[in-house]
Amino acid sequence: MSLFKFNAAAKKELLERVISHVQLAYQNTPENIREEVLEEMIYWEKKRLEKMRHSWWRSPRLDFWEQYQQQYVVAPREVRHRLLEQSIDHYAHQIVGNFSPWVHTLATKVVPPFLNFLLNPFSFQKLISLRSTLINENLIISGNIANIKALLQRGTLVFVPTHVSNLDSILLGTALHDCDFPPAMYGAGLNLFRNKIIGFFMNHLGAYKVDRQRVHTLYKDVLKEYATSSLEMGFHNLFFPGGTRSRSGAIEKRLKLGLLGTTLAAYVRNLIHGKRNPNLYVIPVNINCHLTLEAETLIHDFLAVTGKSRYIIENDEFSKPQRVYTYLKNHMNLNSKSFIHFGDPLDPFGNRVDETGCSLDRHGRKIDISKYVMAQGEVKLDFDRDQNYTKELATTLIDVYHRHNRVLSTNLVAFALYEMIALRHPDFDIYRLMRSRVYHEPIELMAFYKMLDRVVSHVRALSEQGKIVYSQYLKSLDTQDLVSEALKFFGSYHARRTVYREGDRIFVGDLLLLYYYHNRLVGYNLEDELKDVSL
Amino acid sequence: MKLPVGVIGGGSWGTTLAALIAATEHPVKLWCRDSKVVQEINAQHTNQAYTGAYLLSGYIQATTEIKEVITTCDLIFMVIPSRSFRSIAFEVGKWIQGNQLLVSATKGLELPRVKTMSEVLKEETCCKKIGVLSGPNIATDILQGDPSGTVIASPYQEVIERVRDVLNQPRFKVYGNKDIRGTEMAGALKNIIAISCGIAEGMGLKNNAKSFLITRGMMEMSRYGCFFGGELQTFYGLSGMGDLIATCFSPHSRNQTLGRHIAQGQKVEDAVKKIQGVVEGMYSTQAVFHMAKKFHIFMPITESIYRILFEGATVENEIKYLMEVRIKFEEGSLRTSYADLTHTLIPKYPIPEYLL
Repeated sequence: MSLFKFNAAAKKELLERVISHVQLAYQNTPENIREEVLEEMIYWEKKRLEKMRHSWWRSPRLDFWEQYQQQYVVAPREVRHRLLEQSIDHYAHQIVGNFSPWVHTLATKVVPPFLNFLLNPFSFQKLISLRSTLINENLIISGNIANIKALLQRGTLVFVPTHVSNLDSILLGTALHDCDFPPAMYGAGLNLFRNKIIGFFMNHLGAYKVDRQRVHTLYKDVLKEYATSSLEMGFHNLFFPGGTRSRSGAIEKRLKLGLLGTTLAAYVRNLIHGKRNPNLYVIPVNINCHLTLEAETLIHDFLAVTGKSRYIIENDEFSKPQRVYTYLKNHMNLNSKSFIHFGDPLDPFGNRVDETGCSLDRHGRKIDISKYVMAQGEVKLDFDRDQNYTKELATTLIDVYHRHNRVLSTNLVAFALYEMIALRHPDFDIYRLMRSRVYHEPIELMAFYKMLDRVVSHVRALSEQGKIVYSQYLKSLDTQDLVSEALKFFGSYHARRTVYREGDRIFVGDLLLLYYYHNRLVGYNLEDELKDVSL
Repeated sequence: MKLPVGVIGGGSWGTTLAALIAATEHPVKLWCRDSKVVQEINAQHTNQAYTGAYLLSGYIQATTEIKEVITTCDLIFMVIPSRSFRSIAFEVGKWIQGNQLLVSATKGLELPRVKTMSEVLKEETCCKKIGVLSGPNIATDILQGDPSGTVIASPYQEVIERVRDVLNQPRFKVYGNKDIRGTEMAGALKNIIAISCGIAEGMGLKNNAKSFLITRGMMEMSRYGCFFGGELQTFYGLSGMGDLIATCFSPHSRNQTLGRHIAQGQKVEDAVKKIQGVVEGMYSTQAVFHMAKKFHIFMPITESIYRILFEGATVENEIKYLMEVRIKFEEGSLRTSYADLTHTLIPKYPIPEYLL
């Protein structure tokens, strides 16, 4: 179902479904567990507020939770039950998103030409062009779009992209619009709503709010139920299964099973309710860009020992309009591209799906997937079984992400250069390399070309086996052109040049960024293939 | 009426498994390739070629039709040598549905891509609920009625419960385990160490040498298995240590017998021919040797066995090599890096993986 049907009535129905499902689930759990959930909620809400030292509203809210706790401790069973119901209601209303067709028109028809003007004021032709925007001119979309479109009539789509930057949702929104896919509901971190302009659009384009600082069970249950119910109602969804932006720059190696599992839960419920089109289709999406807006912050966070405590970054480059402007402007002027690849659709169990919506095994034989969720001839929800099915889906997705990972010049150069430094200092890890600053030593260009050739030949071999994507464009570049292109990008946006050239020597300006872009090619065992290179 | 259970493969372990299942009063459909064996089982209730004069239960019905087994049973055991496992799994995949349970009881690895049997089942069928049965299970000892135990490993609770339901009995105890990868690896790797123990036996070496090989072999097995995602604990359980000891000390083990013949001066090809049935350890050695080399996993016993089996090295030279290997401390280092599920990720630099 298209988000254009997410009107006031649909929103009300969705809220009612979420609230009633969560309430029902808790009614069926033992009393002591219900109480534990409430106590956990109070503890984490207070803890969350205690961390917010500089917010003016911290103190009144802390007072509220103090009172709540006092009330809870002395409350009889019925009152505690009512408190639980109220909390479910509260969180459901906080999460729910909106969709305004008017804002959608504004975002797709008016904003792009305005952005054109902002980023390139001298291009009058581009200013008046409504469809062609600077963003989508630099966006290369690939994949079997026709196949995915055919599935729109047969079930609900769930887009699951890789994630490196907060700009990904904008890129994806543009890509969905360009492919004439209907807009999809998606969960966005609450921090993104704090930016007034972005927040306005998000708030009216179907985004629902995910407060990642709320880590307690009740909130997570309501959130998962929101996704499940929206899928059950047939609204196409989009979520980043990695849970957050890849801090290391590598392709996702682990996925969060909570949100991913909502796909299967919705499918089982559809079957139980005898829905006409019960199927859900998972569409893996790969996003690749030459540079990442927030690379510096992300890699710092990755390497910080206290990385976990800074899990939610609120002061990165995305929150600084000047940096976003510089990034986009460089992005356009350097003619760098963003690549979005829509993978082949999968069912909630990780099987391939054909254009008619049928699931297939590896030999192309049709599978009746309703059998997977049957026990003694009946369709049933089973937590252990379904969690394992979701793990299978996650495994397949990780595999697809690696296979559709598109190699870019920046990744290749960073990988070859970092590996060269690492091979010269085999006993050093990234931390020691950073401290020792041996990476400042110049590298002879010819030796680097040799290393790069070696990396390229291995990557091309992988590409021929279908394990990675090495484009025709890169094949047409020789080693020198490849290095020149990467150096052009590396010297453009980041505060410090990642890599630069002086005469016949190459220098590393920022080892962390080099490491960040190198990581995109980790996971293919390329490192071991380079072990015997003589330096 | 209990639901019938399918067993694909009428070799010694397949027939023994069918007998064990039949002992719990579950009807068994046993698939055999050879129609003469089918006739013999159905008419005389024996399988002379593999289980001798042992009288099989009337609950066992043999057939040559895979379709018949798959379409009537909800739980199916695959007991096929690793070399033909894929082709039979493909046939099974034609009929199987998502609600059925598949259990591999084959201990081995598939060449050349070094796949475990459960991985082959996943690739060849649409089945998701897959398990692995492994443990110290020498078929002849079980048929004699010796008490024994085994492990059913699967992430799916339903598989564990169902297999326990059809196999657990007074003299055969079935334990559950969630670590399917470790269980399968242990089952395949112990065959290599069994060959080395057979060589020691054939050379007339006594218990010191054998226990030396077994414990250092155990270290090798766990080093390799943990690298590829198995859990260390599994290797110290029935499917690891238990199976290793049983195979290394049993004169009925084909792998051990191969080692014995080689130590007595027979050529490898002649020794293999002499043994009736498939020697899984040969294939496992080949597979593991190449993988260990590729990923720099230290496995000196496997290296030696590989050289003896495939490069014509002499037993004496290899014993010398093993005694000269430079290791000062017993615990060594388990390379704890893991192989992720799709592409082997070797964290060359000690970046904590949980941050990824």
